[in-house]
Amino acid sequence: MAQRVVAIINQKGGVGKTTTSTNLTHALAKSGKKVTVIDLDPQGHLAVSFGVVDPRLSGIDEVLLGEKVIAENLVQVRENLQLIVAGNRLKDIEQLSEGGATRGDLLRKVLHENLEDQDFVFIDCPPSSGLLVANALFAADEILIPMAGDFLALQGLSHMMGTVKKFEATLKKKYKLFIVMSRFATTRNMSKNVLNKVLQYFPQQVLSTVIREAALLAECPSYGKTILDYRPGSRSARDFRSLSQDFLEERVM
Amino acid sequence: MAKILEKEAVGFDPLAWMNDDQVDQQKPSINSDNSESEVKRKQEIINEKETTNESESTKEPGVHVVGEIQAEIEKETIEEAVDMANINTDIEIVEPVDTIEQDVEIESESKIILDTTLNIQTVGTLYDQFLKKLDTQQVIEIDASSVESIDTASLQMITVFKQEGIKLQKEISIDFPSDKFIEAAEILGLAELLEVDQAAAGFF
Repeated sequence: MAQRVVAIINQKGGVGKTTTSTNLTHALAKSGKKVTVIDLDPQGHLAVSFGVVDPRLSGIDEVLLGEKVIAENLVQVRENLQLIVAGNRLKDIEQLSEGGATRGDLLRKVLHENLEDQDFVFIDCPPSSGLLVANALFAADEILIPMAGDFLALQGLSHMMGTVKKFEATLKKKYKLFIVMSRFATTRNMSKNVLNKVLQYFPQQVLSTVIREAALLAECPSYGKTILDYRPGSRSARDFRSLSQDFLEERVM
Repeated sequence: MAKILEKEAVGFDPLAWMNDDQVDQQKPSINSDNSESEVKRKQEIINEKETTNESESTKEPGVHVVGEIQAEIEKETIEEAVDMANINTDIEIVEPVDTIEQDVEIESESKIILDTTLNIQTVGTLYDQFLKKLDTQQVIEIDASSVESIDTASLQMITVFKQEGIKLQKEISIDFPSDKFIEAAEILGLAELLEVDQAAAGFF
């Protein structure tokens, strides 16, 4: 297994999970780390963000179903960075009704004794709370929660923490947990209030760099590029480079 | 308890329960007449868990948990309900009640008294109570007379518990359901299944 397995997770949609997964992993890879990122969201947006659009590609779906081994489905998307796409059948796994309790443990088993040469495995989770998220929480030791600066994101974080605590109790383990403030509108009072609220409950767990809301971040997936490819000199690219250093050095607010 | 904040763009603090959770962990709440027996009961559960942990400490952590869940395969549907319960809290019938949240109390061996407010924070405790009762009792009475607020998670848990009881040929009844309990069950289409529709409630 890789040295660190990190689930990028938030049950709420639109908080920047895939944007963070794409750009943080690329920034880490550019800094020399060996990174594999798994698209566990059946929508497959992570693959699109890296410019991988072949719908015939099999992915983590077939690996979880035991039909392929993980090495067969790795796609080298950038230097030091490999991707495992979601695959067309990933949504079916969410609906699996056979296999009992082991259904939640599929990904952990797959990662066990695989990808050992990797510094990081990141899991881009879907904005839901079913079997796929359960698999991510079984497999990961660390959680990175992207968090937008609005009230509903705060509400989503509350639900998310309920889930995390439940898994911690059941699995008898404590996740290393960091929060990244994403889609942050620096001029908005609400964003600041939300950040303060998050800091109040998660001291020493909010990564130092705030990812500011920017049109460029919305544009680059349509070109199949990360922000580091699309506008390497932009403010957003700097944000993600800085965030990657925060993540590596555990720099927090 | 969630708080309303003033003079901030964030009016309601959805994370407030995390403080309550931490306080609960540090300081067990003793707030009922049978607090002594409640503390004793909790200690028994802790001892039980510690014994289980000791006997399984040599196993790989992940495998240990999976094995544990597999061993309890007959209770798995309840386990899943708890998982889902942690998640499916979108539909919630919650009133801003200023009641102090209390743990579920056991009045007698066969009875479970539901608390005034049942939500995502209490569902874990409820689950523990249900499991214990399923293991030890043939007849289980759930007193729902005090329920003033109940969310989807808790209702889902009670439904699965009742279904599991039927499967295990146990008698599980929901006694004296409050209007709020019935209303919530009806909204979710569970009233008939839980046998708490208005007609049934009229007998009490």
